[in-house]
Amino acid sequence: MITCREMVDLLSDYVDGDLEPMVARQLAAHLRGCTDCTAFLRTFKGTQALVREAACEEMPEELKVRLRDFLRSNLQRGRSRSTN
Amino acid sequence: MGIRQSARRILSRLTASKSAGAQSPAVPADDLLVAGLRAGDPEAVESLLARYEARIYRLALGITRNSADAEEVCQDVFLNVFRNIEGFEGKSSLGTWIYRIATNAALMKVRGKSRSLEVPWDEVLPRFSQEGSHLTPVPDWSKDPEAALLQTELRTVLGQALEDLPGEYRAVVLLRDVEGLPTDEAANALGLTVPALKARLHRGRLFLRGRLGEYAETHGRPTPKGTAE
Ligand SMILES: [Zn+2]
Repeated sequence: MITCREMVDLLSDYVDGDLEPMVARQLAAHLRGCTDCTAFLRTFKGTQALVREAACEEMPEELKVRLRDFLRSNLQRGRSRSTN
Repeated sequence: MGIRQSARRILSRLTASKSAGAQSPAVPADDLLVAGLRAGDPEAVESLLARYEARIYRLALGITRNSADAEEVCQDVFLNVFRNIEGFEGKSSLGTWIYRIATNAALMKVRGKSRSLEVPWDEVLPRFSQEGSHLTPVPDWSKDPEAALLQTELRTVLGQALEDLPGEYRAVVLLRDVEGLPTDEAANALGLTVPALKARLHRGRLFLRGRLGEYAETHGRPTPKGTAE
């Protein structure tokens, strides 16, 4: 029998699919009978989804231009020091 | 071919690419890309930037939480990559190698201005009874359909929670849950063993969930127990 504490300890491995099938089945069985752990799992996954969403910031176009400018001038400096 | 010569070709391409217009570069495999970079192949350079710049920026921004720092990290990373591509041994994938350079560069920024606060783990990690059951009922705030406002607020709370998480934990969560790196590659990028990475990831995820839960439980209208679905 898996306790809620053990359930929570194994939750990352569970959502990442890293558990032995036997253990994963025990966890699934616990979840069916435990509303607290079911809520915990849902909010755990919900948090992951929010993190993904929060972090999908686009790189601004002008920053891409500046990056190329930066690389050009720095690779150039390296060159002029050694050859010019 | 020497590093200097590669760099020169890369340089000439960067100059040329501006006038070349926005051709979408093909997507070569890692080894072709590396060979191309070593040979100073102009298309390989643009390919590499096109493939990684947005991801590296996102990761750097996520770790540093500051767009000026993220921009500097991007510059350092790609300068490093172009200068050191000769030394890339192919022990890890090209992506993992770049992620490792980027993670290190971003963490350096964070360490420079570390707030050196102890994380109050106990306050956010779940608590259990002696028998190992949840000490208090766990509300499900994940998808109350009427709680759109709550979801918006949670994004703000999450931003603060990410900021309060130590950089080393934030990096792990971002590499795994945003960039989608497999566990072993994320461990490689951070110079951690797989078990150490997993422990840090789990703690980081629990911390973020805990902080969101704390807020949702006091501000939200959680679905009454037993009536969900
Ligand atoms: Zn339980």
